[in-house]
Amino acid sequence: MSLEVKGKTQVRLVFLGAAGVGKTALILRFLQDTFEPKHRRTVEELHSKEYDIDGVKVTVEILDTSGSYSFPAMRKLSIQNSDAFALVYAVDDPESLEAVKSLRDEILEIKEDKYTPIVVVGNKADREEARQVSSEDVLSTVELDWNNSYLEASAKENANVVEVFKELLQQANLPSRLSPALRRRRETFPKDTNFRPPMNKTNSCILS
Amino acid sequence: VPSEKILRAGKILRNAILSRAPHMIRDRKYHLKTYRFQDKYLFYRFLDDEQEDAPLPSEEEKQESQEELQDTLLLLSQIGPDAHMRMILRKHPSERTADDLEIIYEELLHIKALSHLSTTVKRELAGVLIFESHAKAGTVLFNQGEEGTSWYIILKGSVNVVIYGKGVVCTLHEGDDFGKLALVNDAPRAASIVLREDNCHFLRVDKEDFNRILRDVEANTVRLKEHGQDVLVLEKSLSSCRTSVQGASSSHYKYKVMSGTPEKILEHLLEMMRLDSQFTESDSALDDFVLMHCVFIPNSQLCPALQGTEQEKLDYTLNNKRRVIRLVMQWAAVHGEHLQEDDNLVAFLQEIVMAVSNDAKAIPAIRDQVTELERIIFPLSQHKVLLRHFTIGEEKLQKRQPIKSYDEILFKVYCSDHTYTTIRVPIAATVREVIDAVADKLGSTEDLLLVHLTSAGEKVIFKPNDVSVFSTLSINGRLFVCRSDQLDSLTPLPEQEGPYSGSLASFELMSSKDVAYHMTSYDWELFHCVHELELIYHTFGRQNVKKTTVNLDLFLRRFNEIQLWVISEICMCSQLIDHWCCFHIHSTSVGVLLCLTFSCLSSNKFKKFYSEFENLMDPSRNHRAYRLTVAKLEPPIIPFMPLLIKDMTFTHEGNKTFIDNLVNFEKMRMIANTVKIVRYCRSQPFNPVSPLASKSHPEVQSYVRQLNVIDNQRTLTQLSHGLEPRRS
Repeated sequence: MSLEVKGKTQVRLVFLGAAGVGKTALILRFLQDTFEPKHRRTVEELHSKEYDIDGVKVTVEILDTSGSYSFPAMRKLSIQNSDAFALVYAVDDPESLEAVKSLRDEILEIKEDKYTPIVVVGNKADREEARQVSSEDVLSTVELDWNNSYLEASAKENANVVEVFKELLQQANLPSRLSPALRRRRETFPKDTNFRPPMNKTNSCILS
Repeated sequence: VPSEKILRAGKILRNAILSRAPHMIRDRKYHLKTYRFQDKYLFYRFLDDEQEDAPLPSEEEKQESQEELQDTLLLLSQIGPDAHMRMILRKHPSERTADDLEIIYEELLHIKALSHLSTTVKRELAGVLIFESHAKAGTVLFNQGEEGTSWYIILKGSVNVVIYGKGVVCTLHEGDDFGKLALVNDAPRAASIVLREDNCHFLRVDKEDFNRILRDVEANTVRLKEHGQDVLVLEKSLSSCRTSVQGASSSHYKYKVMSGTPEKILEHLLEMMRLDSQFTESDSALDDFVLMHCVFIPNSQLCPALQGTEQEKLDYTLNNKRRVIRLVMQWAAVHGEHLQEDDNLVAFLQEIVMAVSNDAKAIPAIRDQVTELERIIFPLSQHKVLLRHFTIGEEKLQKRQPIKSYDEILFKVYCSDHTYTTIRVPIAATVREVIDAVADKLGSTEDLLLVHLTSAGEKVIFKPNDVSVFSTLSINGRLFVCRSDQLDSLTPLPEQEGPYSGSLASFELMSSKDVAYHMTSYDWELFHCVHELELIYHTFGRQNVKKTTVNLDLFLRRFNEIQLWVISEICMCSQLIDHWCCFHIHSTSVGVLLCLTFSCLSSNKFKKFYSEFENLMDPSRNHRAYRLTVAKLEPPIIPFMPLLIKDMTFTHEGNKTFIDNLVNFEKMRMIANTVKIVRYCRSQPFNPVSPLASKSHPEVQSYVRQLNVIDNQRTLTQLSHGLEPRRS
């Protein structure tokens, strides 16, 4: 079940967090290298990009979610179908950090005991003058207590954005075979959640 | 002479009765004269028993009759309604009762050849039509050159029209008519008519009746002219002649509007309005006008017209004013929540209320109308914007509320690489607005197309001015956006294919009564949300009236959804069939669908089971069997909406909206009558007793509201062949 054998694989990253923390901004900075200062509410968007890693075609799907609307069913579904999670908060908004905590609890609950890659991102790092969340506090909570990774980034100034995605992909297990990850806390079986073998139609009827 | 089949059926029936309950065969001619069939005992008589030495059935025959009884009863019940109709038609016109005439009249409503005639003429015809049938193909009905004596309508079968030297010039089928020309022109027959098949049935109108009725039509017509032009055409109405026994009603009521200019019709209706009757007792012409006016006089013209009339007539008499107020009230009642969607209408109503309350100070008589008006208008002030979402099911569990065109909706639009964006637009958004919203999200400046992609990969490109397209998608259809050069590369999403396995496992845990209950109540919710006006918008084309018909679309979509659900589940799991048996009975509309569904399946296994529904949904003579069944039901009823839509479309396409620049009000009345059927169906609230009232069955409820189906016809056919291999 190694990646090389399949020749092609897919990974889905999802961005979750409170309204207006910069989820869409991070994604658009990464994909298009653009920045739009005006906030517009996102409902749900799926982006996709193909990478070639050592001859292996990898489709990276990035799901942008809504912080403004509350659709628990939709959120649940997006968590179920995703491989790695970016939990975004804004360094000038302590409440958004609280949202990250509850989102993490929800993810763990849905994913149960399975190993779940989570990266906590403190966005708007450029707004040093308005900062209300100290990075040391978050770092210790995330890395020590939660055993997840933590990064600060700025979509506006394009700081650390690529690193966020690198970390996500690394944790999502994809290139880890090529370069051993920092963390090797993995399950015995590599995950390939999104790959479903096509159902054999003759077997589809339970009773015949 | 009865057919072989009928004789056989009679024999089976007789043998069955003789072997089980011989006392039921009895001559009852003494009772017959006084009671007709109205006492509580049922007796049977057979021709065989009239003979002295009628043989008693042998053991073998008894056995045989037991086996065939079911099939025989089915056959008899199928031909029953037809036979009844024929019996009535065979009666001499003078012997037909009021009920008989009503049955014939209803039948006439569905005959294509008569669709252009007014209801009055049809009622007249019901009294004079004669049934005529011929058994053998090749029979000549009349010859070219003969004197014309009758006009014919084909009820069943077909005929060839033959002209000397030319041979067969055309073939006429069920619903067509012939023989009129010679009657109208008093000329000899222009062609011969030869039966093309055995056993053809006709309705015949003889020359004398034909001339009288047609002449009467003209004599009964009153034309109002202004500046040498017709502005209003009235026709004498038979039905109101009968009711005018009360004497009090004025002579005007014998006439009904056939056509006219919009303004003149409005004026006429206002003049004719009776104020002595209760407000609740609706005046049908007024009702028709209020329902249908959007077709010929949109609100933007109606409101000023009413305002004008109100101002002007104020100085004349008090009664005129009260009439206008009443029309406004009825108009507001029909439009209901739709009024909120247009600020101009709200402003208009507020102005009226102001004007009326001012008048009320001077004229006490209209004071009670003021309070009524206010009651209609005050709830209008709450201008809510709701947000809805169709893709995820959780909120489907809540009771549905009607969707209004200013509500907003969230939906996903996919790109060719199966990525998507979710946009938020008003329900009534045009395709252009949707594309703009998507382009904005994608940061794209290219020309984009909005495409409906079905699970089978078929593509429909929406036009830029189509509105609220999301409700018109097929069950597993999705909205895609792409550049025109990408169109060929669009492929359906894997999820559009539908489920891979049936849901027998979960279905077995549910009681069929619960499923039926939740299905019916969901259907009812959907039906209840449909506004009467949506039917009219749908019929006349919503792009013409610039209105949405979302609620109706979703209701109609549900019929497809259930049908596909049944097919999908059966194809994926044949044992499911046992479950339908107990459950179809609970909901007519679902039952009807099941039946339609089974007929799509190329399967013999279920034939026996669905034959009784097949009977109900027999499409011949315009679904007569179904219509008769429904007519016997008491509201609440969930009608088989596609049939009503078909009726209205038929009326719409068969009749012009304007005749010589006058509004064809007769057509408006016909369509309004179909809308009133819907109104009747919903006239009682639906309060079913939950089979197990103590439990709410959330799992059944959510199952029923989010059916997973396969809507790819090719996949379904493959599955069905797998289930029961095609016989070679």
